[in-house]
Amino acid sequence: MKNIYIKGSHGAHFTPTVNFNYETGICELKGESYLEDTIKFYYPLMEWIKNYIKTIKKELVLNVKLTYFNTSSSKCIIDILNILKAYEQNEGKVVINWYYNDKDEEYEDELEEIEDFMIETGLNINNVPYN
Amino acid sequence: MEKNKEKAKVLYDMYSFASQNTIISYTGPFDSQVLAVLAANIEYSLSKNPRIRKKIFKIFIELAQNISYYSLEKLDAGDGNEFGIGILIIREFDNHFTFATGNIVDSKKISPVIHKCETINLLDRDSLRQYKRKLRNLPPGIKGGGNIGLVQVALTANNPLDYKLIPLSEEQSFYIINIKIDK
Amino acid sequence: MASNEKNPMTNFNLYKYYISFNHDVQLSYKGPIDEHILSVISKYIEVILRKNPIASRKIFKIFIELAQNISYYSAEKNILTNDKEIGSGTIVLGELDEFYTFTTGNMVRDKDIIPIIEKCEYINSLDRDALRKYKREQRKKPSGPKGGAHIGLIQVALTSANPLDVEITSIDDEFSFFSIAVKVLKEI
Repeated sequence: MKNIYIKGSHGAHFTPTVNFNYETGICELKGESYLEDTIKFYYPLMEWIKNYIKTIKKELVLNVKLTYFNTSSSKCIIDILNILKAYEQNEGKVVINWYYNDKDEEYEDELEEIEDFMIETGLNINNVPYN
Repeated sequence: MEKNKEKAKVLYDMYSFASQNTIISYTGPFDSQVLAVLAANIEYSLSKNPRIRKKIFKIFIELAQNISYYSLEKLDAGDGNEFGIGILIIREFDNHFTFATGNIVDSKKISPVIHKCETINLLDRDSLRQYKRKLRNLPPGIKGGGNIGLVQVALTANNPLDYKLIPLSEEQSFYIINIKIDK
Repeated sequence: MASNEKNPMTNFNLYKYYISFNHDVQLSYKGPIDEHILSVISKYIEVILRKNPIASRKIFKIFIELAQNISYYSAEKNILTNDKEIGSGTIVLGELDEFYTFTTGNMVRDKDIIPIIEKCEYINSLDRDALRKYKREQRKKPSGPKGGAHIGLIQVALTSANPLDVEITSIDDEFSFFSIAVKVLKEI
């Protein structure tokens, strides 16, 4: 199994920074997500997680620190969370930390968003403020 | 010549309209390059107001791309590519901003969109969130789809979607969506 | 919460703005004028007018000069993160039966109006040869503080081979809206 590292960029579209490490079990997704082809970008990340679950079988920590994502990215995030939910239901250990900027005037919108992700997937997501 | 004069007058009127209260307006082809430039210009034109900037930016991302996809009016780039043509305008008033887009659409294909706007406007915030969750959990497949865009726009703006469909012919209509963002 | 009649005027205007003049307006932009929007608009001018390459080249030249004037001289500014300022203004490319029109507009301070109008009137009073002579004279002068060579408007008049159509609309005690329209004939 290989680690995934993608450096984020901010151009015509925005690529998030991805850092998935199978040795530590820590998966990071941060920056901004607005892609030309959302599924093409997220599909390998989903495959990586499925593979980790199948072969490594250890705890998986997902740290999300996205300052912006469009709705089609949010759909792929749901797909990732659903994979993790299934893992949890099969006795896998999953920790999800969602970082939000509590200095942001609209942070309540972001908390609402996190709550929606929890309701939709039935997963527990830790809200972690930063600024 | 008279006709030209009239047209020139009309051009001038329109041009003054474009300038009043307007932060950014654009009429022309929408391809990824111009979208990127407009996105950057929104970011710095609204830099004094980060809250509004973030909201308008989110709305822009969900709505502007639709012009390039769905506008029936196209510019033939001459290299096999076509760009949808439309209009986008962001204006500032005393107590609010407005974000509007307009483009020509196929009257038949737009009816689900209108239906969706109607549904969205009937829902309060909690029901809208519920609706968004429902749409988001539909099976994946459609590229970049999900059709959550309009729901997200209503949530972000926290105002109803002000939309209008103006019939141009049997097949074609002009579709306008105007979003109000309170200061 | 249900209402789609919240801003009927805005809707109406937008429709009018777009549809009635649909065939006349090829491109319009209002906002900050920076190098990125310049490059996108230049590309579109080339594509939109590719069936008329002579007019296309002329409009491109006019566009560059007038857009530069906006970015330097507009009284409406956007401040960038690096503290640089960028002027904001309006650009409209229109197409009529025999010619294209290219219009730009921006806010100016009232105190700056008179020299601009005088300059435009002077330019309009000159025939082509006199205009060329005027351009050569102006080019000999040292450059302005922003690198401007005082010849932008002269070049615009020479390129369009038509008078500069200038209009000033007062906004308040301090500012006015300055607009300049030029024609480019389709057939040369």
